Amino acid sequence: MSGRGSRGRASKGGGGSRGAGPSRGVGGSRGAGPSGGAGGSGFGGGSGFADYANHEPYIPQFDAQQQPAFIPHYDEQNAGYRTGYGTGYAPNFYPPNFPYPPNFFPTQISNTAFPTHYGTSGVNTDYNRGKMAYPDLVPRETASGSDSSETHSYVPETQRLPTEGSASPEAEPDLFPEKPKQTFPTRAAAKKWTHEEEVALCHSWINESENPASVKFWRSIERSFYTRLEATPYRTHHQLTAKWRAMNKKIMAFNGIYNQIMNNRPSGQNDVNLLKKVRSQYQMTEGGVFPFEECWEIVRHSPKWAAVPLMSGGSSSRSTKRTRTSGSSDGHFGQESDEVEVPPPKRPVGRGKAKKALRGGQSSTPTTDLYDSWDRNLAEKMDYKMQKLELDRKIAELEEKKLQLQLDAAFEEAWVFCKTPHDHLEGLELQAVCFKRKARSNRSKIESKHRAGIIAKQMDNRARIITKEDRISNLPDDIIHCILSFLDMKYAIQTSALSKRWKHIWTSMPHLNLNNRTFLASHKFVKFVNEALSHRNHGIEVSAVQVSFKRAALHFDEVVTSVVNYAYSHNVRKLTIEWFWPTDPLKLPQRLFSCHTLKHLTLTTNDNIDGYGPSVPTSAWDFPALETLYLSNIKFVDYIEYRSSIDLFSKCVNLKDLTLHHCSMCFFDTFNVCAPQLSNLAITTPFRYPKVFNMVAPKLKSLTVGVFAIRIKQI
Amino acid sequence: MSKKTLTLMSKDKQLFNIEEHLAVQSVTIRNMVKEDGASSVIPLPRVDSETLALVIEYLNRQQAPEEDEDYVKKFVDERGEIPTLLELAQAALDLDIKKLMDAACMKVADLIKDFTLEEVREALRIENDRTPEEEKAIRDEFQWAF
Repeated sequence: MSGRGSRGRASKGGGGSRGAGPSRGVGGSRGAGPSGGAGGSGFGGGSGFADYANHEPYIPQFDAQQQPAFIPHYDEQNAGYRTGYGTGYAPNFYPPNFPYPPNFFPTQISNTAFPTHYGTSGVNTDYNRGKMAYPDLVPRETASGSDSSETHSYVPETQRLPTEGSASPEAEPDLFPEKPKQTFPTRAAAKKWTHEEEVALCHSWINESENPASVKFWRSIERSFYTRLEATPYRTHHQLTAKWRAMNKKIMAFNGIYNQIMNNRPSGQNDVNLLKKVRSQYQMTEGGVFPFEECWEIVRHSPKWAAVPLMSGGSSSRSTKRTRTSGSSDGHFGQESDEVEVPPPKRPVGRGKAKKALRGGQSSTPTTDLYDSWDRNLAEKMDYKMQKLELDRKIAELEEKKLQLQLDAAFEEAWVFCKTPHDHLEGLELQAVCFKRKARSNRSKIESKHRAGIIAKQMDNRARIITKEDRISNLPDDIIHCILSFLDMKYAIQTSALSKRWKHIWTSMPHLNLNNRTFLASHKFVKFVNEALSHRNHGIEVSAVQVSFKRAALHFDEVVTSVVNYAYSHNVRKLTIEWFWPTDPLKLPQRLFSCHTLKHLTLTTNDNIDGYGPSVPTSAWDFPALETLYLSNIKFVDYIEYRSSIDLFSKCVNLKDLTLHHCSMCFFDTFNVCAPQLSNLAITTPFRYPKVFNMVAPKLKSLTVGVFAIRIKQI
Repeated sequence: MSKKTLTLMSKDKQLFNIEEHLAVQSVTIRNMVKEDGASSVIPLPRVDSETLALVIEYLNRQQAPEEDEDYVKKFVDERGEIPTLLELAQAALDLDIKKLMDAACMKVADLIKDFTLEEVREALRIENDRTPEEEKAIRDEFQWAF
């Protein structure tokens, strides 16, 4: 501190002032003043300067008394001053022609208030030193209660004094009200903190810190601070935070001492005494009077400073004690009830929660008016945006509807044209006209290409299915069966309503294509399968059956069992069972794996339902006629007993094509494939391989295996 | 060995020539060739000349086996009107060409599957020889499928 002060003085002062520094330290302030001023030549009134010089020690002396802990450097100086000047020199008693305390005119010294003869270098030096090093000293002047009127009376008329303001320290805030903030760019120029300001700062900080929904913490504090003072912003953000830091440090220290003493409160002591004790201890430990007692009174009850009850005698141990005694008999009850239950400190509302509540419009936390209006504005803006979006959506909807209507009209027109007989048009010519019509209606479909594509395809299909006579009914049943076999069984049965000719066609279909895609309720699918099978012409063999579960494979067992029973008793040759939805592990009925007519069997699902693969019997499958076997996502596992090897296909003597897709074979050490007719074996994207894969296939032509390591013994 | 040529005759007495090794894709023709060796003309009383031309075109295709499926699909797609397809299916049935018949029937099924029964009946000109009551009775009988 002292080094900085002297350095500043040395640099700013002229040659004379540099010499003056040490001399002033020993008390020759009177002599030092002129020597500092000597740098400036030709000053007018020697008396005036002397007076100023006389007064010069006033500032440091005054401040030093107030803040001894902070200005040790000045203490020495003041001691010197006092000795040189006399301790009876009160700050209020200015010499009669004392112009003005120099720090009251920090920027005006050089131009008007202090003419050149004042020796600006010397004056500035002192001023700068005092101000730069100890900005916090300033408000103490106010607190000292110096009389403004008295001071004013000493101001000489000759000096240019601000007419609108007095020379008193209280008037200081009004002294340069018109001055923009930029003229106080450094900390040196900061205004002294008044008591009211400190209190306001405390209140603002507490309010904001206890408002969990606070955003931009310090900005809110600033806003609240100036609102309390009813002033426009005149301090920088940095000044506020720095002041708060300084205050906070001291208040925390004081509060700590206070809490410590309160926790060990001796009996018979009242609060005043305790506070005295705290003050004295603070002075002892921190080395000075605690200056912020009023501020401390404000903040002491907020959760940050409030005393935390000690856990040793806390509620937890006490509560266990109590439960124990209450369970026992009456003996200790009265004794226990003497203890006062201290509620644990309440936790403040979380920030996120509070903000959410604020957004939901049910904020229980107090917010400033400014925030309210801000939120209102925001809400209005959002409302407006939502309304606009809603309107846009409606417009889009209407446009889509309009487009749809246009399409429908065009579609109808084309359809009516296509279906009415045009005897004068033949074959391709008719097609050409139809296509032209379609093209015309296509023009309005540019906007929604995808939908237009679908509709165009449908229209195309409509144009293609037009016949001039009932050709299809006159075709042999074989062709109709073939056509129906590519349709869903449900649709095939519905064709019985077309005409009398169609009523029984479906019953003799050799292909059954059962699909639960159109059945919303799974029990309806079960009923459908049973009805369809029972209504079928039982004299006709079933050549191919396909059961697909495109929806959830509920009632899988039931359906598969009845289909398999029916198909196997009607000499089925091709059976396909597929499911595409993950369900509980499926159980394939034992009956499925024994059929003497079956030539092609497919059990498949999609790859992405790992772990749901159904397990199959591990004893040899009885398919003497089987030629093609496709298994996908099957788990070869015996849950009942452990067996080291498995030989599933030993009875499939006619097996030619075998595909194992994504199957897990790892539950057996040895996996045997023994098929004399096997010519194609494909193991694609295997899930797990067994340790040994034995294969007896003398007629094997093509072998495809996945990338896993595999050991194959070819015999 | 010189390539033998067979002659097919449509129902309107038009003659089409086709090499024997291509013609035997038809099981019917194969059986006929087996039976009586070199019969000069094979009559096809239920196939008209346009359809027979298509069948000949199909039989004359020069495709590798793996592209065959795609070719059949494309073949029926290009002639994807139901009257043609039905004739083609009829011819394929008579000549016993399974692939062609399946493809044609599949295409027909594909075309009609998106339409309601009424639309199909209208488009295919199937005469509804039932009274509304009878039709309702049918629908009730099979109500589990409607």
